[in-house]
Amino acid sequence: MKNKPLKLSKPLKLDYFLLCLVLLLVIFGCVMVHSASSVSAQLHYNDEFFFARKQIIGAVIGLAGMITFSMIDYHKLEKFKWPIFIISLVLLALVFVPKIGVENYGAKRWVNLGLFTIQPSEIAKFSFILLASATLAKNYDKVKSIKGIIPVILSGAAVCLLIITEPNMSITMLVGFSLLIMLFAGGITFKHFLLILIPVIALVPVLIIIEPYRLKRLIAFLDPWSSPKGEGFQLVQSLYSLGNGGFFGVGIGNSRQKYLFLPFAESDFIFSIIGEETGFLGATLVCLIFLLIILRGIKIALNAKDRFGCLLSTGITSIIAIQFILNVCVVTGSIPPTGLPLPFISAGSTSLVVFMSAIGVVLNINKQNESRA
Amino acid sequence: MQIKYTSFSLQKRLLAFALLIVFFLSLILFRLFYLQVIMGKTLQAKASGQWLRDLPTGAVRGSITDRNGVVLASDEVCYDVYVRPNDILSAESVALVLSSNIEISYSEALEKATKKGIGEIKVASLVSREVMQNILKDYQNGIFFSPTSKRNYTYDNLLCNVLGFVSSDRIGQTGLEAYYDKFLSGVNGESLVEADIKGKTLEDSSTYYIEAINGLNLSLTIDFRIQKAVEEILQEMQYNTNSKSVSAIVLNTKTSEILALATLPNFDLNNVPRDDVNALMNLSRCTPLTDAYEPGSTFKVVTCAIAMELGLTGEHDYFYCSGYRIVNGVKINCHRHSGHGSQSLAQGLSNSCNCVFMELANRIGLENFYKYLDLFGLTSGYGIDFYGEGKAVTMPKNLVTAADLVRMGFGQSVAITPMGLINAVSAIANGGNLMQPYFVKSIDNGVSVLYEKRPTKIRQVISNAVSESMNRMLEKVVDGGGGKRAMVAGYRIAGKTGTAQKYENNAIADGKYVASFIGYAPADNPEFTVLVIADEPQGAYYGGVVSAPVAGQIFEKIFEIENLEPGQSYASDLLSLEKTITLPNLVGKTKTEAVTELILLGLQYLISGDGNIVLGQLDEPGTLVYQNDIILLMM
Repeated sequence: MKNKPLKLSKPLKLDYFLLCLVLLLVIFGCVMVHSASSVSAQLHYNDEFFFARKQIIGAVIGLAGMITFSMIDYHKLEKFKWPIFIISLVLLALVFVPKIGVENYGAKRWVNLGLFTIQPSEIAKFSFILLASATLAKNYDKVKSIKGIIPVILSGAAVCLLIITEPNMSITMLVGFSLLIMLFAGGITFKHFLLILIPVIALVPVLIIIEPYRLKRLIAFLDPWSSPKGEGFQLVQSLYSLGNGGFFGVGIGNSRQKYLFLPFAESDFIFSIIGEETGFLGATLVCLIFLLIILRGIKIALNAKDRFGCLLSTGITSIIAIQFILNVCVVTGSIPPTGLPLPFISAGSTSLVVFMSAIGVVLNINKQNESRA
Repeated sequence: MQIKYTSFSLQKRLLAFALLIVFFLSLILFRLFYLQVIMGKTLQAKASGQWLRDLPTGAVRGSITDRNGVVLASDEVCYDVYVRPNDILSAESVALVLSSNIEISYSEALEKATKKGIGEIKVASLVSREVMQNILKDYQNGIFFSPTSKRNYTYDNLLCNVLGFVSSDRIGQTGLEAYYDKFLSGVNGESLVEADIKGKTLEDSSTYYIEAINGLNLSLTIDFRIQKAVEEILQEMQYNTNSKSVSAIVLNTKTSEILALATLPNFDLNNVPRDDVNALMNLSRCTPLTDAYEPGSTFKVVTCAIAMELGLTGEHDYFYCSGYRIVNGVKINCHRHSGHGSQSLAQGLSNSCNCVFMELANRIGLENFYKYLDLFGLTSGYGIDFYGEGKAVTMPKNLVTAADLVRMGFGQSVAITPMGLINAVSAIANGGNLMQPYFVKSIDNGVSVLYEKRPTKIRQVISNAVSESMNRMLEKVVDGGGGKRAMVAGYRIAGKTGTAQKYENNAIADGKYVASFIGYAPADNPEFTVLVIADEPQGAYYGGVVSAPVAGQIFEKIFEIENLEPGQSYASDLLSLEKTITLPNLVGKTKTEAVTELILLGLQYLISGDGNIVLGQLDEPGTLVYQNDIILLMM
């Protein structure tokens, strides 16, 4: 399939439905970040808007990114797939360079770029998606053979390897899962699929043994009440938040758990505060908006004008879907705790800007599809 | 099978992906519903514990007074002093005010007043109201006071072994403070404030108050005037005799109310020497109640009463003393080696002749002797309201030789507590009624009396007739006999001296004696029993020389305090000998169970506290009480 240049003469239609859903989440996210973080921000930075302000700035930059990417022909990204991928790998590697890499909570996950710090893994996961969809689209007739999928697996493995060394188990898993989905959507045979799946599953216990804190977390997950003040603390606090919310919630701004009881209330555990303040009702609504965004992304993939667009939209959607599911599962104590922000909502500018830009790409895929129709 | 890569297949695969997402999302929603709607209330209840910070508001610990209302121990309102560095305008002047009023150096006060990143910091504990007023006079912003209580013992050392002391967290550690802790302590209240995880109060948070229930007050049987006199007299005795320790007990002969109990050396309850825990444990023990000793000749009173009760001798029975007695080949000396010759029983008591009491013990026999030790309550104790009441230490019956038996007759080879001795002698003096000694006369809540202890008769041990002859004979011991130094001119005192050799490692310890005197007055109608013991006096060591005069001084003080005219014996209330009931154990039972049980027994009850389970009861299980007595239940 040959890529056709975008004809700018034709009026382009944005998918306003998807745009509105995303903006809804982002605005709601800013409100919730402020609510969840005001107490700890006041305590630590003497400024209750510390996190909220950063989040709003992130949202503005994100919006600019989203608009920009929705206007850039996504086929141009394909041309830059290698530079983008290599820059991501370099950024990932920079994490380990002293003074540039920032260590926090025992993991090197941030890079200090002077003006601001970014989390390279946030960028790497999308650059991998770009490279994988481009490769799979180009090699789609060779995808039945091991040879055809080896480059995709290797590039995914490279990203995973760098991220797991930080260490960052959760994003590694995220990239791993999206790799599987990309291969699946790319047309890999079921035999090959199983061949890859089995060693990946086998790797999990190995990773747990390497870092003893993971085992502790696993035990705490299995029975958080056995150490409500130790390893199980965060999970217990998260469950308290959700329980306190009940069906209708305690009202926005009225969380009791944000008074320093729940750690990372504004980032990884913001869903607990949403559950507490807006109840089961609000939490369900948030889940449904995510579901709509995901289904919209898949629909755009199905209607994409070419295989690259289809796989790219699938990949971006899969990242959003997996990250959302993992985050909510952690918060509800359904899987062992692992630090992953909730897309569009959790405090964190890098994540927000990258996710919004990625939506911009999806919007562009949809635009071209509609312009073709 | 090969899969065709048509767009249809891609559609199917993407559809599968979408279905997978929907599947996981449904699971998540189920989980959320379970946590938020089904488990919501449970989790909320669990979480509420961490949302509220409880500040205890201390209950006032009950006071302890003597029988006439003289306060011996009470809670004093004190203040903890704090500074709030953020509210301070001038740290220098705050430091100046603090350092001039409380024990803190200027530099330390300044350091605390300028401390950063802290809400408030304590600068002094348990400051008196007066000091607080002084600080308030030069009031500086940023100083504040938190009311608290301090245990105050009005007379420092007085009655220290009986009163006992409390720990820094105000829990009774020894003595009555420990025994009656549940009643004295009350129930702390709480104020619950909404706070963050660090305990910082939330803005516009609500506060919930739970009122503190103050502790109950104890009125003792102790008479402060007698206790004070006894302690002063013992101080002098300790100074004169240089004894290892000196002790005295004063009992009401008829009721066994403990009027005074003291032992020296003692300590200051307001300044408990906590540095050496072992030393403190020894010092704070109430040895006259807890420790058995060999009473020596004072025990002859008991031997004599047993023999008379069994009809084995009488006031006019005669004995011959050659200075020793050979028992199964063992020669046991009388203290007068030349012998007392022929003498009546009364003279034998007066002379404190060992031979007479060897003979009596021989007549009584081992079985009866041990039986009467039980009947006098010596082997079991009396169930006194005090922890660690001691019992007699006796040899196992099968090991007692004939020589041991006759030695027991004059108070060796058997060890009893001083309290055991004085209570047994009181029973002999009062007509044979063995009474239960006790410390707490009544318990009140400041408004009304909740519980009143009445004298409790344990059993009749000897007959009235034997008691009367004992009184006659023992009066002669003081009136010209071995106890004559206990004499108070014009008063009729009965008594008996004792000089016991101390044993160490199964051998007589050279030069170590216990000198004692036990007596009661007035001899014809005894009201007061006094026991004085000097452990290892230096120099003179005869009970008649060391302890009898001290007992005399105590009697003289008592007569003065009680306005007892010479030659007069005052008519005392007759003991009402109603039907007694053994009190069952009610602790742990529910309110309904306990109350039903008491009503069925014909007892009345009062309930303190609002729980549903009995936490404590007065009296202790096994106590003999009278019908219609009020039993206090702590819930």
